[in-house]
Amino acid sequence: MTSSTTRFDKAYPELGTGRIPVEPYISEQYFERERRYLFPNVWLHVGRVEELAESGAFFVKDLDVPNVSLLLTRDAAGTVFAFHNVCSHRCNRVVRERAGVAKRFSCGFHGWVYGLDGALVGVPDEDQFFDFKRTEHALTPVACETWEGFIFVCLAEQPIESLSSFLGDHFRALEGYPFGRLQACFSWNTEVRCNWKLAQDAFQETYHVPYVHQHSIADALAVNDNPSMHPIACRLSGYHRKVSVAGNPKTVYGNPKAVNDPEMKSYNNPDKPIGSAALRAGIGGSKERFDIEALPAGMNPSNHPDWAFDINGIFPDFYLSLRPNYYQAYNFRPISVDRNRFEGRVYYPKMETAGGRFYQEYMKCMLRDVLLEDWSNLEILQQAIASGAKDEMVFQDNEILLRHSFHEIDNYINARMSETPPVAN
Amino acid sequence: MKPLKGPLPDRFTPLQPWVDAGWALPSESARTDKRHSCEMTEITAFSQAMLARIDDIVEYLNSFSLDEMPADARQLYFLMMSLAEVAPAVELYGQPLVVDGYEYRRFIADEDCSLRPPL
Repeated sequence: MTSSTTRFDKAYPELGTGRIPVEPYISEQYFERERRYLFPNVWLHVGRVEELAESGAFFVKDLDVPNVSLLLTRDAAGTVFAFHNVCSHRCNRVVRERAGVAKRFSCGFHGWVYGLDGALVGVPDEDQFFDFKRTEHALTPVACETWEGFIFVCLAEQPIESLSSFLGDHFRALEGYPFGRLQACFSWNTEVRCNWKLAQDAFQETYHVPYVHQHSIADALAVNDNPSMHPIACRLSGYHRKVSVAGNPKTVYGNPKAVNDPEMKSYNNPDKPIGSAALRAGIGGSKERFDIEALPAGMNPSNHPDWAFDINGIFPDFYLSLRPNYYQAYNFRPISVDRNRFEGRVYYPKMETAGGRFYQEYMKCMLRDVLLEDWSNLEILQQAIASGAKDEMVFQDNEILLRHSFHEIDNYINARMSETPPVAN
Repeated sequence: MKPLKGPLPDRFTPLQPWVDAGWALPSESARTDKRHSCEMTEITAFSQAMLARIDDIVEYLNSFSLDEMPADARQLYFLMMSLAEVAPAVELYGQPLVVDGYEYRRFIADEDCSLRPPL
């Protein structure tokens, strides 16, 4: 049953308009299927190449699902590697620091030494081992590829497809976005008592904005003829998804010309005195220019005049929200069926002036507090779903990304299960 | 993290009580804790005192490179960062806490991220 006013159901009829079961959000069995068939097979975002800016730079990334500790390195030739952070001798964690710069890595248990490329290059008391060849005992590599400076890993021994194939056309149309010029990163993390999909869903629709964000950024998304904050465009392609969101460029928070536009020197909104001061202070904070006209074709795909930003959903758990002059990168990492770890990052241009930093700090504090508004509801929501009061949820047309996410995850798991021979008793 | 204590540049001496009250704080986490340890009356008075001079403050601090800011200017800089921290309390919520917000102590700023601006 469709409505004459709905749009996305007609563009993507294969998704249907039916209700969505709550089972994937609360079922231990469903989580076990995700743990076994979904997360080990897909490409997972783990960081930026700028975190490995020089030869010997490394960082450690721990995941809960799959439960692994990964070591990311860059060698002198500039190649980025990922390894299991596990010694080939007796399986100790090789690197305990979170990040740094090193020429080689020495295991603290018995002193085995590995190069930046994972090769075993030193073994104390080596002649006491049997039939020993160093080349057989390198760190275990993990498939690692980059896209536009984002580092992805795949834990499968043989990835089903390359990162490029996995990301597909949707992401080729975003190439050229100034990721490399937005390198001032602020990040937060928190462990939330709710399912990872429940968390991600809350960031994939704007229906909640007039309610959850009534005190904060609702005005920045308000456009006169769109009181319910409907997305202005939606594009689904394969696993991945996006919506475009309109905004009010005259607000402090939604201002696409901040930092660049000298007219902001006289900005004054009496309701936002600190924000107005920050916007004035930010002018000239960076020499970089961020022009809407220079953005790649994949952004604002409907060329809507009120466009503010695009929400990109990268399968299965990576959220990338792109504005002309900054972007947010969030991951919703599963821990268990009712726990997830949120890793939130926002990337701005590097500022060269104190005034620029003041503007950036204002924007960052606003964003962080808006995130606190989002997260407050989710633990209560998880408990309410788990009570069993409802078997299904109802998604409206503008919640299409949630519907798409549900179907893509379910389809992916079913496809992998059908490829796997049943376990013999 | 402890607040910095020391003199402000001469022309900003009237703001010295806010340094003495512990608002010159060099990290996001410390500034968040400070905001949530204060009554709204103090936050309002702090923001009004800072806003009265904010365009001057920005002009003065912009005369230094971020890498080579003298100690007294850094005090002023961190007061300005605290003004940004209290902005949501002043402009949005009318209270230090986010209205119906998630517990702020559980939302941990990653101060050690290598991509974070040093100042």
